[in-house]
Amino acid sequence: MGPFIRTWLLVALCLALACPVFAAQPDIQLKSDTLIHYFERDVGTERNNQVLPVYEYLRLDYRPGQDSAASFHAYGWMRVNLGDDFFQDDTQGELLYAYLQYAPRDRDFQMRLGRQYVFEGVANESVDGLYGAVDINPWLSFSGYLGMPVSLEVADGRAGDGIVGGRVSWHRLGKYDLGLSYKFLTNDSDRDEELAGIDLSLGLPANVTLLGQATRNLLADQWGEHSVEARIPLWRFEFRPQYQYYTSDGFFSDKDNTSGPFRAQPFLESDTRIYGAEAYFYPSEDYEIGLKARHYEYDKRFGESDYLSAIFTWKWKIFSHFGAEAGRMEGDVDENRYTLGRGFFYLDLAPAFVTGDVVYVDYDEALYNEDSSLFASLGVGRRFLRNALRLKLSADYSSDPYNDEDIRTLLVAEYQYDR
Amino acid sequence: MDKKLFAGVLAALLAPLLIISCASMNDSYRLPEKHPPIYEMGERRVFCVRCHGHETEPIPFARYNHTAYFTDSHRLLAYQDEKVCSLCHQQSFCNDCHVTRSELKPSLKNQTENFRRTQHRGDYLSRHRIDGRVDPSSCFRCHGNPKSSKTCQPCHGR
Repeated sequence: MGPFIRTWLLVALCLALACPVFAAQPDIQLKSDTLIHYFERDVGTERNNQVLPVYEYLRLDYRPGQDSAASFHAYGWMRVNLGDDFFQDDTQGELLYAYLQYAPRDRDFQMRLGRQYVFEGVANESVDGLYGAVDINPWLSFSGYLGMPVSLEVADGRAGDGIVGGRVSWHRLGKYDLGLSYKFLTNDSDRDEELAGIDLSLGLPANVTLLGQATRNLLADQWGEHSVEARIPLWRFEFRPQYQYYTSDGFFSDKDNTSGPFRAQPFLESDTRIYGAEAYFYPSEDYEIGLKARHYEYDKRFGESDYLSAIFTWKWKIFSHFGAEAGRMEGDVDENRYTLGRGFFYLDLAPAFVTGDVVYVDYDEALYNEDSSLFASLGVGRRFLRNALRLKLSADYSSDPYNDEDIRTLLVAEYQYDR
Repeated sequence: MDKKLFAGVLAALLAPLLIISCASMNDSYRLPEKHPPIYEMGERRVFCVRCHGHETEPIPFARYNHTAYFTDSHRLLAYQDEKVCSLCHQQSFCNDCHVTRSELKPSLKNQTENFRRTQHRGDYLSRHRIDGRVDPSSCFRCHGNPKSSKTCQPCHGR
């Protein structure tokens, strides 16, 4: 049974299991995104191959009644290729989440059972299992999860795969939040990942905020990451100095839960320090000017790198805006240098809209004899059926080291059913 | 029964009881379940502080202003305050980028929503060679495991 069928059988099974729980007066939201993507593939012959993948993203939110504590949530995607054999498999799919949730509105706890994504402290994981979170009192919260990691390849079943973790937080709303978190992951019964982390947010006088996170790799017995950022508002400005430090042995891993692209790459063997800052200026409510700077230092690589970026945005309606962005990456050698320019707009002409985007990049050292890339996209859309249906059509042009004057189109139908 | 499995099952059964009993002791501020959709609240696309001001209680609203680089720098907030994010964003919204496996890059799935400044816009295939060398940690965070790196593997190997 392929992953495509397995994924959607699992959705059907979850729905079937959930049905008896839910009684009359259900609150149902069904969101369907159908994307038809057309592009040509250069196969080195006179005629290019036509590629026509069709993607379906389906989301279901189900609650038996407005005041019910129980609910069911599911989301996944699948793809069918109607064109050539560009993809290794004609059909593909993935169940991204499907869980039963119990979260009473007059209590401070929630529980989830099923496939779900967990963001907390050192956790950034998809888990098949149980998650619980509780605010024990106004100062102390606890969360934990237990199950199997979805991120690992399924080889010879999932025996011996497991993940467990949680976070304890000492906090006072709007003042401070100090969290301690832990994650332990096994793959085929081998310890593949064991992390502990500290995270902090601290409100200081004059609305200054301090944010930070540190991660300890308990397998390598090394710190993996230190990140700290301050946010300093001043009249119509905001300044955000930042510092990040990554160690190669502590942050990266050579275990089975790490993928090939992150093994045996020489530049991964260097610790990296990133000094940076973001700055914002708001001359009026309609305008935003942002600046971002990064300075990269390495302990083993030759040379340092810098990145500088600026964004200007003019917003005159809820979504309508015009924006421009410029960026410069200044690496240690020519092959690590480029200049980026981008312009974009969005015109809200409700119920219709028009949107455009142009990205131009100039590379200091040519890639495959091309020293620049140009991407342009023009889109239109309109809402129908009292905003339940939205159709969007975009056409893209790309000329770059990998694509020779390619035209691509994307037709999207978004439908939302509410009851 | 295997001892480790037994301990796991026992913990899974006891955890809900602990959670329920503890939560009943708390009478602190509760976030509402959902924020009203911002496009139903007036003509302008605004920052949180336009309505909530710069108050830091019950939550520091200014921290969640979606600035021009918010897509790049929301990580430290999200790891602490996922509950605040979920006032406006369903998990499916986060899954455009944070996902075990997806074929469509976020910028393509949301091609016309260019104001979101999602990752990998334009010809990122060329640009990622440089960004990846300069800061490999930025790639690893999302593409570090076997499933989430499926799109990397045809060129970089398994």
